[in-house]
Amino acid sequence: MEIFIAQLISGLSLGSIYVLLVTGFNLMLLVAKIIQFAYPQIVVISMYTCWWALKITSNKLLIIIAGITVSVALSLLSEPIFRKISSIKDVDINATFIASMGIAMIMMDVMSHSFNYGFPVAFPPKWIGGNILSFGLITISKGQLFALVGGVIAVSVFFYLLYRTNQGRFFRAIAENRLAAELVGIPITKTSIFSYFIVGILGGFSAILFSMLIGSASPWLGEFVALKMLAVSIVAGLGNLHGGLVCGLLLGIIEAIAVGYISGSWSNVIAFVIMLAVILIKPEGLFGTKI
Amino acid sequence: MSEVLYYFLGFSAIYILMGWALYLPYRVGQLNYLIVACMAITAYFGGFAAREWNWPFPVILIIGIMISTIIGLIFSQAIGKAPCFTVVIVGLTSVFIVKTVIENWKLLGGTVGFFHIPNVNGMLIIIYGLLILVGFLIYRIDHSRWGRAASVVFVDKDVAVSLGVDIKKIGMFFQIVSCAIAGMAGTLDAFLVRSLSPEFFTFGMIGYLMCILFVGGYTTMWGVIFSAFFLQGIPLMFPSSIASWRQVIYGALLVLIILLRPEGIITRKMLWRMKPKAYFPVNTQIKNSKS
Amino acid sequence: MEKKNSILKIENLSVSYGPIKALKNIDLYINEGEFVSLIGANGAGKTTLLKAVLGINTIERGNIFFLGKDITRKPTNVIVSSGLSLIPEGHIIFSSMSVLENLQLGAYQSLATFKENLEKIFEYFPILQKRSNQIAGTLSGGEQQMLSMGRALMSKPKLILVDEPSLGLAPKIVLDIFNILIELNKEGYTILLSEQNAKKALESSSRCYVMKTGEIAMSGPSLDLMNNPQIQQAYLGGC
Ligand SMILES: Nc1ncnc2c1ncn2[C@@H]1O[C@H](COP(=O)(O)OP(=O)(O)O)[C@@H](O)[C@H]1O
Ligand SMILES: [Mg+2]
Repeated sequence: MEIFIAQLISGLSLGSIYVLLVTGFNLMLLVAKIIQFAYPQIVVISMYTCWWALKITSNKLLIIIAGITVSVALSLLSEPIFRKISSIKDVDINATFIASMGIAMIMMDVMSHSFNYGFPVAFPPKWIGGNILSFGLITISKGQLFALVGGVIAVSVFFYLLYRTNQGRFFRAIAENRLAAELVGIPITKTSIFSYFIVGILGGFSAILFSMLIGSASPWLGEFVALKMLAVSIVAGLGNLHGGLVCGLLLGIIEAIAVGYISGSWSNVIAFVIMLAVILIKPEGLFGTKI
Repeated sequence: MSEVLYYFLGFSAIYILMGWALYLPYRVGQLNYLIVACMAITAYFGGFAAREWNWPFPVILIIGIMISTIIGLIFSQAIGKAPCFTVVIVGLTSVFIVKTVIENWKLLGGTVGFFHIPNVNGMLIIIYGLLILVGFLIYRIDHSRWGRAASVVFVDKDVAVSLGVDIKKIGMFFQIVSCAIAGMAGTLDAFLVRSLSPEFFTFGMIGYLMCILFVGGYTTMWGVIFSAFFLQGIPLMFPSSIASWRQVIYGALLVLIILLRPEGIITRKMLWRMKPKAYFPVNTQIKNSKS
Repeated sequence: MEKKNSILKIENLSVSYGPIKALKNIDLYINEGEFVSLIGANGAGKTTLLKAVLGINTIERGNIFFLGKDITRKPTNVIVSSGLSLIPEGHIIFSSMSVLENLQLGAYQSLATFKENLEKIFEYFPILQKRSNQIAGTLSGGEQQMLSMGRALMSKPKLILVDEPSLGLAPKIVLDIFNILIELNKEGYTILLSEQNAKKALESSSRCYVMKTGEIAMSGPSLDLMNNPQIQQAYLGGC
């Protein structure tokens, strides 16, 4: 029972980070009409930023601000490129995927050359915090608990904004029907740029929670996270925000339970095999595609 | 022949094969990354069968192609007419699963790699012979009923359906042929390099193949030939201090080509001008009537 | 008769879709308080004209003035917030949102008077009040059309463009919708109505433009046109 609780805690905290990532990805897809493959790379760069900031200061608030600022800046920097691509005649959404893949390659190579000489970085104990619960082999650190609380709060706040504020309604309106959104007078370009901003904030939050949960970052992390984010978004149904919420949490829990029973890297394979099977059986996703 | 030239020519040919394997399903708008998984599987199979079981090369080649054809056959049942991005995720997940299995399989050398694959004399000649054979095959497919139907599917699926094109069948056909070519490339790769590492078959390879297809031009089979040599040559042309940043160069090329010349360097229009009436009359008509 | 300060004035407007010339040198004006109809067969260019006014279609040549200001090639959201509303054809709504949310989206330009407006809309369309928490996609066709109209009215527009509101609706509901349009006009709303149903359009409007293959073929007071033998032949089934 205790082991199960521990797994549930780490599963939920991991899951809520996946939810943040998938939601950001879906928001880009729905509002800005792009496939942002480089999003997880932005998250990892933001994690590196926190790591650097930790060397300079131990003021947690400053570190969090630094991480979020970098994530927002990178997200906004990519906006003109994608806007230019979307404006080219005879070009569909695949072109944004290809370009974002190029951006991801650049970011990854920069990380593996320049950041800490390409070596993985470990976050210091003052960031992760000591263990507060331990059941035999499984321990729960302060960071993990914080990731859980932070993740749940971030996801709730985001969904509240999306469903209860005007700006959120604009996002959903553009996502659902661009023409109708234009007709009620929603400024499409401005709202689209704003979605890059919001996605940057979501990315920064995921980076901070991630660094607390797993306590390390590496240039290859982005690729791995990208794969999970994309697989969850397809399993849930592309552009389906509710589906992403459910499937993101589910993946986190499945992974946490798999870690408890299966050794190391095989536990990752289990999650991917399950997702691959779901995609092959139901290519349109469990909850239906929304684009 | 110098070693550098030997590997330059060998790798270029193998990447042309892989580029074509990516090119074919993109004729119907699908990015089939399953080819990288097929390549990894057949490369390891080939290496293992040659070293441990002493099987002769031709038998290994034929069985390798058969294995990847069967993989293509099974997957295409599910994703024959799936949207591009679903096919992308299926491919990415499969690549990750295959890579993890190899890394954890002691028999295959795990993360260290697999070495001492027996030498086959005249490998370069065999590779180029097969390359010409595959090139001829693709040329025939492009100029067949299948090729013309694919051009319609790429531009507009609904029009294709209304013209009586079976989208699933045509998607399956291209995916299967593409996997078969990747199986050939994998086997050839094992015997060209004579050592294998799981690190080789990963996101970097996919990015590189994307670069080959989209920088060269995805509208004809010729673009791949040009860019495979060109991109393979980049690390040779520059001093190693710059060449080590080649992922950045490839990524930047990918972004730039989408921004500046979305159809790639060698386009169908370009060939059309050089050689009237030879290239895909159906596609050109439809494109013109739409714009 | 064109007044000096007409609410909408279109001069020499041309729009093309690639090689297809959809609008050729259109001239049109609407005075404040008028109910003008725009009739023509399917494909005559009515929708194209309304979309061009809203800045959705790219304008090739010509000018559009709204309340004396040039709005040619302005972004749609700017045009909408200056007081022009289009009720598009085929009742385009946000079908996964609730009825209330649809109306909120229509009102975001004038949030201050939201409550007031909402009560007004519920007076015109009592059914929307009953369904206000229902998901819009589950409404019937007629209710969706009413929602689409209500949403456009929420921004308190000075001119409403209505594109084929009767399309695909039962005769009884068509009657309701025309009655509501007439009532709205009486309350002071200026209306431009595009319709294939020429009889109904002529009956409800005071003035009418007849479109044919991208051009204005005829125009004048609706009563005159109703008695015009040519119009009777072509659009009113010869009765
Ligand atoms: N998006 C479009 N692309 C190309 N041609 C179009 C498009 N929309 C309308 N048309 C053409 O423009 C002409 C006018 O269409 P439309 O304005 O919809 O007419 P109406 O609303 O009077 O039925 C038609 O010939 C139609 O085929
Ligand atoms: Mg119309």
